[in-house]
Amino acid sequence: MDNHKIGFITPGGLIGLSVSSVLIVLGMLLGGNQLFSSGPLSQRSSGQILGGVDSHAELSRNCKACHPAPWSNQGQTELCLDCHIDINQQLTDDQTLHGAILSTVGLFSCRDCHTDHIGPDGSITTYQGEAFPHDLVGFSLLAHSNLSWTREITCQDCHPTRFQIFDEESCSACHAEIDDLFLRGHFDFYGNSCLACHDGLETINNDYAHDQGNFLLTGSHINADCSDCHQNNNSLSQFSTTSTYCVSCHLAEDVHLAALGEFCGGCHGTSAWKPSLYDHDLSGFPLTLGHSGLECSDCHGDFTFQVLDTRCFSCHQEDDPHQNLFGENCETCHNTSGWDNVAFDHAGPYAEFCTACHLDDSPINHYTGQCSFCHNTSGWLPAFFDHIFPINHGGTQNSCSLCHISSDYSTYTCYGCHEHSQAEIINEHEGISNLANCVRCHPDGLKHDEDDDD
Amino acid sequence: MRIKNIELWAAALTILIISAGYLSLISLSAIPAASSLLGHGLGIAGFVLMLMTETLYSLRKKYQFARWGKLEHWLSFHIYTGLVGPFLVLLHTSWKFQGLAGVLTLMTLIIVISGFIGRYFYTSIPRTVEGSALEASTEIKQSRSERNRKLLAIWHTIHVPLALSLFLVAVAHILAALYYSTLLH
Repeated sequence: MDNHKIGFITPGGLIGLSVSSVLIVLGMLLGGNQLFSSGPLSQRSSGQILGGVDSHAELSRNCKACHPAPWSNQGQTELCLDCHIDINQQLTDDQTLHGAILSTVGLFSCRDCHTDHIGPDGSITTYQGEAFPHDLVGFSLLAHSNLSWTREITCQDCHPTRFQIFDEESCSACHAEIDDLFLRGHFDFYGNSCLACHDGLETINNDYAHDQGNFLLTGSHINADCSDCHQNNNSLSQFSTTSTYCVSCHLAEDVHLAALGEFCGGCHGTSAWKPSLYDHDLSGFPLTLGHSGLECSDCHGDFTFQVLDTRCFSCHQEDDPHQNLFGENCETCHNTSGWDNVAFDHAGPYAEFCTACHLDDSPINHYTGQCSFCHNTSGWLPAFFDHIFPINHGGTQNSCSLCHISSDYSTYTCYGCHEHSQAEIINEHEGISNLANCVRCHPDGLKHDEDDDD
Repeated sequence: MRIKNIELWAAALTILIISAGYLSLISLSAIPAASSLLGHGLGIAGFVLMLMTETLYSLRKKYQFARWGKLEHWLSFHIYTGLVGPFLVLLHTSWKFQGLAGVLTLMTLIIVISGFIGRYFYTSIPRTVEGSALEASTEIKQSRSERNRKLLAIWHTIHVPLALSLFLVAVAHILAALYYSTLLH
């Protein structure tokens, strides 16, 4: 054959192209584009007529019923929802499966979970692994997908017939392989309705009454996952013998660094670590008034709790304004309501030091001696000292030292102001020998003619 | 020294390696769907190799501007791509032969078999290094060569239209896949 005639564009080739083109076009026209189908559509019926058909198979010659043109504004999901009006309604209610999926994962396409062209009997629902939010149907696959078992768990293990139907027998079928003895004991103890207690998260839902055991779940324990306490528990015996000591779970949270032992319940409840429920009265040091709002660490900063010094001075030494004059027993005068609320015992051993407290209480030019000469502990007034002699005599302006020239206020002299010539005094006070006791005859400080004989 | 039928050995080795990878994959997960990333990759790679099979050797033979390399090497490459390409396309099908895609797979199989037959006729005719046929030296050889030339002409009349039809169907398949699946929104 002539070499120049050989090539892929030959008369025969052109004829082949033409015939093929015609056959394809004929196939499209006669078969309604089924020529391009990747497989027969499902004949499964939902039991109701949707979009005028009983199953997808009835749409085999109407591709555009589900396949919009790439340039169309309408997507495939919109076409699905045009027929599946029940699903469209579900999307508005997040209590339904599709509504919950929409509210959880946001926008999605129907074909993310559903497909077709897999044969007349093919299920158009496909499980897309983690893409399907299985927990929304009441059972999480979290624990099951994390299991390192002898083989991979498949959908059919739990849904042997249809995905929509859960076969509860399937639980025992697998779990008997893992631990038959435990399972039988578990069923005897709790019954064989697995979903009544389990939700797939290795947690036990609210239907389970934990007080059947010896550890009532209260406070924050109510929200704990089973595995938080029952770590690596795979058998009934392990579950029932889990330690109930707080430190078996909370050792790492012990801020006391084990200084207070392991009996957390002595101070703490199950709702929260703070506030502590410890009754401080039991320590012999009730936390009253000003002490009641303190943080534990204000006194127990170094986590020393049991042998702490309870004397006031052990904490309040720096608060003492008395320069240690009254010793270290603050409670003698003070209580926990505040430093200013003093309850001083004036009959006590320090009562003689009036000015230690009352230094600023005396008027100007007041007697500077012992307060108790004139006052008692009932109050400054009335003062029981009767001066008799007019205090402002001769315009002394209450200056005590004008008459009482020594610190002994029982003595006085008038001669600081009056005549200093003893001869004249004697001359004027004929018959009077004690010329120092002027007040005897002049109690009002005034002159008079008749004097007593003294 | 050139190994006889090296292109067949190379193709067999390539197919063996690809098969090992493919079998490992399906033992770990599942048969890759035609529309998956791997499935599409297999289909595209296979189609490109088949397109090279269809065009490069013919161009080299027919057109002056394309006379690069020895013709026998191009024939070897034509045979290599003509075997590996269809194998990749076969894996792309995910073993489903529905509709036009199924027809396309069947046509690919036929064209490969046809290629084997054509190669037998082609190599039975004495040629120059540039592919021109030589006259046989003896009468017997001359008679046999003449018969093979006629058979090669008949084969060529069937093979080329079949190959072009195959590519037309392949293009239709690709356009349909784009329209109905890849560009689906």
